[in-house]
Amino acid sequence: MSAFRSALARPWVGGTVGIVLLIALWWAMTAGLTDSTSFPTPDAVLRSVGRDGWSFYSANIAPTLSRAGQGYLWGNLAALVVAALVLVAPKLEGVVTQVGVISSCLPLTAIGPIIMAMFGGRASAIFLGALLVFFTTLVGALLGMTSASRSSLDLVAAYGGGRWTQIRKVRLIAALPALATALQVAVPGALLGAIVGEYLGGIDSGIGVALNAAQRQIMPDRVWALSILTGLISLAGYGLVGLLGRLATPWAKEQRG
Amino acid sequence: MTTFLLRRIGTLAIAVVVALAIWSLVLFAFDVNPLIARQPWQVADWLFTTDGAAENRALIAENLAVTVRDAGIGYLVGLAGAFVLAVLFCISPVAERIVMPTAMVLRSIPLVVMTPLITLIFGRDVTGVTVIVLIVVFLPALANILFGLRSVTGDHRDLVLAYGGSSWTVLRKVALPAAIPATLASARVSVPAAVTGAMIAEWLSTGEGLGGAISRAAGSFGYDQMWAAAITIAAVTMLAYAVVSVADTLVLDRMGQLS
Repeated sequence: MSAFRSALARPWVGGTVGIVLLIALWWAMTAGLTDSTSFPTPDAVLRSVGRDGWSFYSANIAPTLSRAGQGYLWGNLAALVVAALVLVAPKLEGVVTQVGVISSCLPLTAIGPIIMAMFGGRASAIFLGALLVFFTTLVGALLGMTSASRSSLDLVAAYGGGRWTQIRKVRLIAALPALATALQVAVPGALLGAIVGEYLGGIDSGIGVALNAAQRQIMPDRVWALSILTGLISLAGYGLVGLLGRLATPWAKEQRG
Repeated sequence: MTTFLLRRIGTLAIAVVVALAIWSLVLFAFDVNPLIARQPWQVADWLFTTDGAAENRALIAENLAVTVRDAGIGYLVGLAGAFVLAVLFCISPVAERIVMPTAMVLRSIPLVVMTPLITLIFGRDVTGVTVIVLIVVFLPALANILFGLRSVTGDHRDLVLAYGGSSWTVLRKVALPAAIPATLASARVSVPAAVTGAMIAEWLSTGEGLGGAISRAAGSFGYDQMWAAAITIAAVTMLAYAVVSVADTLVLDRMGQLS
């Protein structure tokens, strides 16, 4: 029993058990339903993936990934530029953070139709992704900048370094781990923004479009398959950026524990 | 305390002015079609000075009440549930190892994708909306609060144990107070998340509230209403965030945890 318990304590073993339990629960809940117009069994979902085939999925996933990627890029770029502004002029931090908060209070469903009416569906998908990424990265970057240790800054000052040397030698290096984490957390946001944008319409392909169509044609198997796939893509992106972040900031390992 | 409040309000006011300026400038810079675009003063005009402004306000207020209810229930239940479960996980780590990775997978499924599934299971009413808001609020808060509870150092634990305390005493005297900052931070960041969740749910499933009203207005070229609804919900979210954030700072200040 204790061996079993200690095995469960390992993250991937526990995680696998959790997911297997979830699938078992799903199967148990759906197996009894005779006409499952809304709640398909796991094997029905798998069969629908086989039926739709690779071409259906790649045709819809590629455009969404491209939009999410562009949104991710622009959102992060904007956040980094604003954060750099604070780095140079620390007095701005309060106002910049507040503007960031306002940006995160703009509801997607309200901004989406406005952007779509103004610039079209494609732009709205990218913009919404960027909007969701912006605040996360901004907060992470600002947090990172304040995490430079006082003594390192004093050391630079004692050796005659100015504010600019402090920024270059200490603050930027100290900010990278928090920034890496923020970039990782921002990944699902970019995907969510892109899919909401596609869902709003004005676009002919993408996960959001396929999902919307599958719902209207009452194809629950496909809705579920697309949903789970999107979750997996999002998770894969999250893992990938996390890995890159750890490789890029090896000195942050001790802090992460 | 008063100077702190005044400074907060001052910063907020400057930020609002900056945001309004960006809004107005973007519309000018991109030369957006005036049929669609509305400047801040045009929205204010529609809400306050034009003929029938009172009806306009009543319409927005009615929808706003629904959205606040939708977001509020899920927000409160989600935070409370996250706190209880975090304490539970703190006592039984094995349960955490099983639930947390699964929760991470669920969390990474985008909300728009999950909304139809939840609607299928829970139906198109307050229950469905609440479940969606719950998911948005619950999982990040759980991870956050758990992190706070875990931040108890070995020294603190040893001290309590050495004085004859049980692990229950450790939880009560050390871990729970240590988790307060993380809990408050979750309460703060969950505000916009809950509103976004409620708006998406209203848009995709119930069709009520501001979320439903905005998509209907956009579909029927009611751009005045669309802009006014968007600005209203953004302003209300911002106010709620500011209130929670001030409460957060005051509590931490009182606990002496501000550096």
